[in-house]
Amino acid sequence: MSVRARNESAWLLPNDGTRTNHRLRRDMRTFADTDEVDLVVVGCGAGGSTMIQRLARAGWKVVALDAGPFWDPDADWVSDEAGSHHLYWTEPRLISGSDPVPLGSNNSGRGVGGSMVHYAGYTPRFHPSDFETLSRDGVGADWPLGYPDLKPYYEAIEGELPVAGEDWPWGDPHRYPHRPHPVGGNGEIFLRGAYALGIEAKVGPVAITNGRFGNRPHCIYRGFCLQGCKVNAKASPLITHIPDALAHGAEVRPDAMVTRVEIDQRSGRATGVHYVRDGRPRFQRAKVVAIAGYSIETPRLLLNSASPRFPDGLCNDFDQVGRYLMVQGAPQTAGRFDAEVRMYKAPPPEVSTEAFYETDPTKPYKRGFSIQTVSPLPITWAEHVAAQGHWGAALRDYMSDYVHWSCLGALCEFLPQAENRVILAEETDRYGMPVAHFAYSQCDNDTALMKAARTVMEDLLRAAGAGEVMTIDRFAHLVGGARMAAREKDGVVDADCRTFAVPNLYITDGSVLPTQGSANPALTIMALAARTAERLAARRTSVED
Amino acid sequence: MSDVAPGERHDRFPGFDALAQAGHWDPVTAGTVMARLGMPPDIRFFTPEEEAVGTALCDRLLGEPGEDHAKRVGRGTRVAVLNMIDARLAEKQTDGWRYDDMPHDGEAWRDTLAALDQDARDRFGHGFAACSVAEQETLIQQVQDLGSDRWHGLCARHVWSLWTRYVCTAFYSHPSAWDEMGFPGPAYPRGYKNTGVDAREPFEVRDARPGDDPARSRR
Repeated sequence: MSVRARNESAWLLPNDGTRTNHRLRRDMRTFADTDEVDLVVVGCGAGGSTMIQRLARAGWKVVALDAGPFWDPDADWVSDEAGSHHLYWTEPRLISGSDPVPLGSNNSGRGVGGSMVHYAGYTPRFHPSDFETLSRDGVGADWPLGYPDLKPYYEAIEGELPVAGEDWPWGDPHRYPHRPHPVGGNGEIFLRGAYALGIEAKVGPVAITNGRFGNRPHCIYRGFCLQGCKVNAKASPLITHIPDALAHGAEVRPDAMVTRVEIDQRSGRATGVHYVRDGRPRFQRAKVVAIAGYSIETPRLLLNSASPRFPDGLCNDFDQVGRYLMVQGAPQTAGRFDAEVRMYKAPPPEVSTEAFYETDPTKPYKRGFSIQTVSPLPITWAEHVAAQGHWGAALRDYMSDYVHWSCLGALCEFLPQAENRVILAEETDRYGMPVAHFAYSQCDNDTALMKAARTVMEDLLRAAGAGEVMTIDRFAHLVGGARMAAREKDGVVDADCRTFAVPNLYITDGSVLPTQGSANPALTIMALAARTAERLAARRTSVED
Repeated sequence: MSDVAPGERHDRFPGFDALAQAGHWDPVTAGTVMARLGMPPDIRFFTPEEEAVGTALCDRLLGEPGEDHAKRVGRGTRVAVLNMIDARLAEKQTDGWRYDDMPHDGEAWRDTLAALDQDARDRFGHGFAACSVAEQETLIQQVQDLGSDRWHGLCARHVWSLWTRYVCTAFYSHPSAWDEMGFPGPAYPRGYKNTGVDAREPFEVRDARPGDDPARSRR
């Protein structure tokens, strides 16, 4: 089936130079709180949006609630770093551990489209090995499903975003629907250094249209991918799945903060969600509840939904909620060239290599890392320079040297650890709900990977001709926190993303991932949600109807 | 620390003016950026004492010239960084996280400015704002040198993170800071057509001192 026949989103957007189909939103079907909808989804990002698009198409009555706004790229987004602060989740949160992980702009979105509004746009698949790291390498965890289970959904989503890139030689080799983009200065440097060292590097894979796709125009290479794409070229669910969902009768209810999932104490089933909108407490009834709030808010919502049946938090019978939360080690190396790189021109995601992704038996560590171009804009570049210890005149001098720097980032596969987790803090937010406290500490394998990735990136930039190089330690992405497992004692959900504890409660976001590979998680989150939606639709058709 | 007026850094990109392209920006972005060029927001959060210490701290972290030097050679364009920080704190516009061993950002700013002032009195016998540039730099360097050790009961590294995040976010959002860097700022709906190494748009200006590598010159 053609992409348009199964997901018409790109053709439902306007083609007159504006970016939002206001009529589709105005005419959106709406449900009353008292309607028992077939499905209510909490969070309208990668997982939640895919769910409602699929299930609206299957004829379900669905509502998605999101704590943030229903964005209009024309009116709400700017081509400016500091002015994009409202794209991030900035409610209070605490961080701790030996390696505390900054949240906000680093990894946390809000509003319809979720973090994919401000992700770079890299959409690699996981490798087959990622699903069985425990069996293969004795580290991490095995998933209750394998790569072949996800493969058809990877292919489907890659067509819907769509993804542009060269033929991909790593993991399960595959091709992409759109040809690779031309590269800018930063991509050129990466390719030059990789060639000099004999490291295979490829252009892509990025979810940015290369050529017209439906009514979405070609990328204009303005470099502000992380500030929300005003062009509608970079994929986010706001434009790739929500329009089709609305056209098939789904409701998206923005500015609705869900505070608790209600459980019928007699039947043990979820009955709906409590939420606050316009300051008023409300309750949406639903036959099925799916939580898709990502790795911090999903565990927080479960922990805040304690009841007599679940005194330690919903689905927390075995103390699994909030645990095994992962970030990727993302050391960032910059190299200085007398030539002008001007890395702000062209999208930050351009070129990547997965040549170091798999376990190398000659190395003292397990698993690996990928390397990608990252092209920080001035404020983020200032963070890099300041993290190097520079301040005062040195900071200003390095900053004025901006056009000469090229910048690469690694994604190191940090291992899942029980103590890396979300718990509730004593502090409460303006709704009166306890806020999340996120603790993170690296293990020795994590630290070894950071070091190895740094060495490769510094070598690569030097091979490309860099004079000075400077590396800072960063972290990227979030996954885990309500992981999928074969047995209820080892996780929160099963292979279909259904919670072990509540038969009509699902979790369909990045928090279900048991491992993370060295891949950006967005594509895998969407593919998993698409698979869950398909199985949910089939389950109801065969069992209930 | 070298004694360079910010105006001198503009010499790297002679004649470059990010604002000259403002006519090509979309109106929403233009509104956001232009708001930074008007009157800075009045100080609402900091007390006058905190304002004095904070202004000096921002100037030192950004390598702004001291008052004497400014009188002699001029300042170039000075960005009202402290006012921008004050506005964020008044509006509680946080980064969406804080270290669990730090108080809320506003309180952390108040506490650390007071601590810096105390350090100045203990060491030099007068407040931080009355210190010479060299004295102020010494006191700031001491905080950075503590790393993860405690400074007035707080983790120095976390204090350093707080200061530099707020200061850099404010300063590098300003078009005059972009002019120093040769960065053209907003790029919608125009985009770029000449990407690649040593490729420039007609409105971009070549660096007049491409060998002026800060690392090389500091070695």
